[in-house]
Amino acid sequence: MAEEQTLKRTFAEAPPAVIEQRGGRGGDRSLWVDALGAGSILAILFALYLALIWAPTEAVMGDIQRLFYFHVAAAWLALGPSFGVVAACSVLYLWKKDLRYDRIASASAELGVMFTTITLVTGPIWARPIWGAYWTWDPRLTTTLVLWFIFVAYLMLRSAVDAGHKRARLSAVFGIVGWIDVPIVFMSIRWWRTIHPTVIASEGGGLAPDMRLALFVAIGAFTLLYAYLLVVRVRQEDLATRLDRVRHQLYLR
Amino acid sequence: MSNLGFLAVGYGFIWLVLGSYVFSLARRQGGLNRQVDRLERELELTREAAPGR
Amino acid sequence: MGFLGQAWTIAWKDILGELRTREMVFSMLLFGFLVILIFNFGIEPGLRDEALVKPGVLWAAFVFAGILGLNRSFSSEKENDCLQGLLLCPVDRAVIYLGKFLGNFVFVLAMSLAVLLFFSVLYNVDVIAVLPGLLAILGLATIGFCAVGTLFSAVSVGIKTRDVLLAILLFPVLVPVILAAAKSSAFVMNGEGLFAGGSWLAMLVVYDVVFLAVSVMVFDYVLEE
Repeated sequence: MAEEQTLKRTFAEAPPAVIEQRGGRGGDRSLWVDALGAGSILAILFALYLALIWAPTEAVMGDIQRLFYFHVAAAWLALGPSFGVVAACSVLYLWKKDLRYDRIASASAELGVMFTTITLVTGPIWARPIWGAYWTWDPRLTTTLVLWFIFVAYLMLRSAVDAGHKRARLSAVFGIVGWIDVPIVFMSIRWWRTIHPTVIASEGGGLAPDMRLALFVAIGAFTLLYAYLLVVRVRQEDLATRLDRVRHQLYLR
Repeated sequence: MSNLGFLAVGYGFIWLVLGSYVFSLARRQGGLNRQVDRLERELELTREAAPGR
Repeated sequence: MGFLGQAWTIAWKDILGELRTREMVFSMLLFGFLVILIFNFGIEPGLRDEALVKPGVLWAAFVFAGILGLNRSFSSEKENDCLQGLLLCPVDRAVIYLGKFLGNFVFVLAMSLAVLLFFSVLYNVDVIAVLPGLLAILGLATIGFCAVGTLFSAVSVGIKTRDVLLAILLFPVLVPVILAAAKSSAFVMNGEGLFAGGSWLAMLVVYDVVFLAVSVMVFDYVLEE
């Protein structure tokens, strides 16, 4: 009986931290996150309209070229923000030892896998009718494939280690090394061979202004979506961490 | 397959991937919310059981 | 004792252990031989004389055999808590990294020389004529391979699935090394000389310098307890 009494007392003593930190009913939400979500949906609908209806049909490639807008947007997110955030948060974690950076890095890596997969699958679908082959060992394709493997390896490493500072340290080290590696991979494969169309290399390349607008809107829309999903995912991880902590306090004290 | 067919497959894939990721996020959020609710109920119950604390 | 002297002491400890047991280098090179043998069955006899096929076989054998050694590099320290002892040494963590790196470098280089010999006989490559060039490439590639490999070997050491995980972590990051080594050794084997593939050599050097420096910097965090 006495034991039960102490247990109940610990329950009662436990600060209502969960309730307070969670910010009331309805989950871990706040207005700006909802606004970001709504904004990204609207932006994507607008980008879809521009890409599928408004933009002119490409003269040589035909309608399949309309895949290009979201293909490039996904590639940009995979190579740019996703991996950049992983690397930046890895460095920040090693510096500050704050697990929140680790959570941001892991959320960004998850999104990176998703966007890299989209790039890798839409690329061949577009390439088949145009180049006559699903896959070519072109620098950007190959680099994206290597990038995919690095992202997946990062997540595999995380899933193999128990949550905590050790996992954060190891994955941060791998994230930094991987990030430094990607430009070298790109350079090496570029010397090896290239046939990929250069799109925005010099002054917009051969892209019509209308198409360029549709492309930039698609990139913007996907970037908003990335930001929204990242915030949601990081907040989930924050909540899960707090839950673990409170449970730990309750049951192990 | 026609040009438009490839286009449809491409767009279908993009939204399938994004949709399933969002769906998995929503499921995870639902699970977390349930856990928080349960913890809150337990806290409230014990507070009633041990008043004056 | 200087910085390099300390590192060499750690490397020498590994080499001495290997000389006594002779388990790692031998199994590595046997595995390398087997890779070369297996590739032989996968490639049509006519294709085997293609200039670019041969370096591919050589470097595939190098990578697959080399990773066996890396796997053992830190996990052997786990036995009898040797890793704890190593960490308690009054030396900088960078020294431990360099020591392990040097040990791995010696093992992988020894293995790859034997594999090169085996390869040259089976694939009819006149190695003697192009030996200096090939040795330079082999050395540079081994440095890059072991620089990243030693770091990742330490990353994966405490993990249950470390053998597979090390390969998954290491191979994508090694792409530039393998590509550059295969390309430049193709030039050398064609008799065009080492500097025909000059930019590939430069890439190997850049890779080595960058990843040795990065590994020395971040190694501290890997073994932090």
